[in-house]
Amino acid sequence: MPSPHDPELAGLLLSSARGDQQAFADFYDLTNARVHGLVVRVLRDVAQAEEVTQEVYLQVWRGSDTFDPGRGSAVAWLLTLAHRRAIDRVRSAQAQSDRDHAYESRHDRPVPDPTAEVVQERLQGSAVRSAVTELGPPHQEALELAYFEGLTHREVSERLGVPLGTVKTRIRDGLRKLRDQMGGPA
Amino acid sequence: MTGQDRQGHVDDLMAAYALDAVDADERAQLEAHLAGCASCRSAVQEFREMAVLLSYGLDAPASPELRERVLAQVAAEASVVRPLASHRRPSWVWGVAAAGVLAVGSWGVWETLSPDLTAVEQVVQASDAVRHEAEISGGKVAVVESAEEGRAVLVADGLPALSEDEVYQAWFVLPDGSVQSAGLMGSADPDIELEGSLEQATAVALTVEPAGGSELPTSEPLGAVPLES
Repeated sequence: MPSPHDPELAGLLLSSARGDQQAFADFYDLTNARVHGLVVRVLRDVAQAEEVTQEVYLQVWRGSDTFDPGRGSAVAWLLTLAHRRAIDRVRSAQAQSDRDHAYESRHDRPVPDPTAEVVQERLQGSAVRSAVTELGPPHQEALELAYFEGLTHREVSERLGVPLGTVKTRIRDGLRKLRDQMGGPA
Repeated sequence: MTGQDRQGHVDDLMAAYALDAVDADERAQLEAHLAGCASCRSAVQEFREMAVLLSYGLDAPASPELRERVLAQVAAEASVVRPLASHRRPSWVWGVAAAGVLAVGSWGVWETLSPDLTAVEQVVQASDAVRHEAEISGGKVAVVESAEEGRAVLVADGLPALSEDEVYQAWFVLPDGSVQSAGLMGSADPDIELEGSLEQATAVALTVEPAGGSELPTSEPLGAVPLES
């Protein structure tokens, strides 16, 4: 899966910042599959993911003037923004569902959405093909829980039953290992 | 956080921060530190570049409908941001406690359920209701018009709460780029009947204004609902 060249994306973002809607549309076309794929993986729900993907691109349009090509790549800027929004959504949904569970009786809860399960199956399939699975269990586990499940490093430590310091190290070393294996940005 | 003793702790968290794997307190603390520390900023950026690799291979194109929605909303915002930006410097006339100002701090006071539909409900439920929607500041905002009722309303859900001395103000955006106030609403009661006619408008934009509203927008729009013809 070749990624579009970053200089091209950076140029399109800079043009968007000047109000060029065609440049924005081109940027959308080149990147939406990557953004949406990430958001779907985090949210595990296509309808919610579409909402978040839409929010991400509106934020790109409104905030393209905050992109500075001297500081980093366009794709990192975009995926940072997309991931933050997806994680915020997961955490607020989690907070909401904790509240719901506290106040609602069991039979008031919505029945599971069958399409969500289908999506999840597909996700598990695609996760197998994602780069992170090449890393080996300890790093992969820490990175997946942190990046895709939206857990904080503290929650990862609780979930895995390993010390906090170990989790921080696995996250950091896992990322470096990933870079070394793949030889530069995708 | 400039003390040497805490530096190690901060370094430790840069990778987790780059993955959004920190809680809200840590995020705030780290961002305060990053604001004044170029070497940590570049460390975070390096981890973000590495994190790009995590989603490699997960591509899933969004639907064509999503593309249309995004581009329509961008077009609507583009038409309103520029005219407002040109108003930025001149002396604005601030609305003075206009009639019909929303009761501030009235949330928690609920009207008793009435069998009669409110003005907003009448329009929303009209058989010829036409609905235009957009996502603004994380909330859903819809403009609903009914020719039969001869009115248009704005209904919002999930807009951020405002302080007591602020209101949301809706604006009709006209084809020449000028704007015209369409009404005020509080964040606690964000459903209003729009004052005036949609007929000429190309979009309805929202800004945050001081309580009482403004004659012209005094802030950048949060977003706009495009009214495709």
